[in-house]
Amino acid sequence: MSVRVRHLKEWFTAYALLAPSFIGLATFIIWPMIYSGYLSFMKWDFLDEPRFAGLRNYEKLFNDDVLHLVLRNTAVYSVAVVFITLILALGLAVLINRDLKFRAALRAIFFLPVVTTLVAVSGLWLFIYSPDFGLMSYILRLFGSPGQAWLNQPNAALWAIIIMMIWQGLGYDMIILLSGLQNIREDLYEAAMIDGAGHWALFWNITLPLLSPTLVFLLIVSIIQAFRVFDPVYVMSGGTGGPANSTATLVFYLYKQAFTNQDAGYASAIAYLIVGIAVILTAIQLTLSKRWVTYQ
Amino acid sequence: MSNETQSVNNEIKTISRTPTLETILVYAVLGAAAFIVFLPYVWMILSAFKTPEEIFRYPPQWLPAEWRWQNFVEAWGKAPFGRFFINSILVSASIVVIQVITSTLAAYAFAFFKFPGKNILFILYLSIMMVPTQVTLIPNFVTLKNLNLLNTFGALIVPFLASGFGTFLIRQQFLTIPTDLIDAARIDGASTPRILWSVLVPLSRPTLATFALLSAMWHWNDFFWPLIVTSSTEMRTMPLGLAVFTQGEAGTEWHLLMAAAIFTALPIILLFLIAQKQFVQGIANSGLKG
Repeated sequence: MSVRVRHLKEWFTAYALLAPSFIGLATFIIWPMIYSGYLSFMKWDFLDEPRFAGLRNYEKLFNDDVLHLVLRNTAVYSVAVVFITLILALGLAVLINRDLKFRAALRAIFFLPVVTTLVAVSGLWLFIYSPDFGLMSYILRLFGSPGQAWLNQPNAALWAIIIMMIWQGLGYDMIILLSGLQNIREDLYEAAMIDGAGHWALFWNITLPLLSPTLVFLLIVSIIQAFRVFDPVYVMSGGTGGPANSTATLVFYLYKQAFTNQDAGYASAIAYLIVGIAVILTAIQLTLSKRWVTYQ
Repeated sequence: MSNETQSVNNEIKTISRTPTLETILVYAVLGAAAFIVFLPYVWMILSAFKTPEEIFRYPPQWLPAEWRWQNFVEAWGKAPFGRFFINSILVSASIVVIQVITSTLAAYAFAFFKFPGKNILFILYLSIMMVPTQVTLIPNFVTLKNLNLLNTFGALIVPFLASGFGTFLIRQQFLTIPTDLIDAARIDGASTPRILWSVLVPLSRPTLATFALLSAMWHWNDFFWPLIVTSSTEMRTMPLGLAVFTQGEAGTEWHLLMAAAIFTALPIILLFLIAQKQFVQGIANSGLKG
């Protein structure tokens, strides 16, 4: 066989191996990305022919008061869930990263909510938050505070979901941080201890800086993830995003615009807003990991 | 492995220099945290066995007077959960099998072949992992509608035929296999499929298992997509069935709702308890969320 024929044969085999996944990705991810962009300049109700709408859908992004509330909800939710979860998980990971009895069992318990179906988690917490018979009102009453219908109050409902999602995501952050902690070389600690450094000094001067790549990574992945929250909002608000849109998040609003209001054009513009936010966050991650992060 | 040995050594050192008071504090804090995290599960399990009267008692009665297993039977019968269960098994099993196959094939090409456009294609596969699924929502809905697949198994399975993440994970594993091994097999006259099946796949079983488990978890637990592409009750999956159950009349029958939440989540929890190491390592190595 000539070299040329052999090359062609190798190319052909490689493309044949790639074909099944490439067709799948092209049809259901690449093409939809492009088509979404096209739809965001159209007015379409899924039935008639799409009509050109110019920039109207994007103008609406600026003028829609509900969307602004939704953006605020999403930002509050994401920042609160991501930062509180990360801080709690960091504490737990540092504590658990030593020779403990029951270490495996503890890790499994913290991780359990991560693998529990989110709809089941939401159903469980719906009951926990039940004002009369729920676990939360029982515990609060032990401390002399009456139970409330948190999920029916515009200023409490989002926080009720936030608390639930911190509980749910703690184990995920902890596992990632633990694997980061185990990559820190022990001789660094030993050297610092010979120099007389205490526990806090070790944490601030060694653990935290060397964990910074993991922390920045987790921060960005989690925020992008948090921005896409949908299941708990849907279940805990009974599919309404209420009360008074107080729990509606970006993806929930996109879903409503597309499938309740049948406004495919505006929903596509919202989809591109989500992409834009994800791109900006990723760019921030890249900058941060260059500036702040310390490598061993 | 060496990491683990190292960390075990670290821990032995830590313990020898740690005062007992500190150890007790660490146990106390971790114990309290684990208690708080686990308490909702205890509440869910106990409630699932209670009578409605016991649920509505204040202060709550923690243990049911009698463990009512029939709650599970009753909840299972309140909605067609048998059907939802079969749908969920069918959909997630099909997706896992197909994704493992398509990802392994693509990973083979990326790891061991030279061809024009390889780098661009690989970057494309990688960036696909970053695309928020919501952007593809409306076009995919339209595509499936045009194919007349809405409200069928096709709609639940076809959009997930390929996985950029799986391709990446398996490629990384393939790259750890020495090329000498492949060359030797080639010299022995092994064909391309034969090398994949008899050399690469047996050496990569743990990675394939990890990917299969993660994919099974994501697709069993998925709620968003089935919500959008199914319209009739008999096409619902477990999470969707549970969500509808939550909002229906059963919403206030907490004992039945807890029982239904348990049997919805249980298959993946069992899978996790059996294959904990694969799950945890897979998530720690990939750093990917559902």
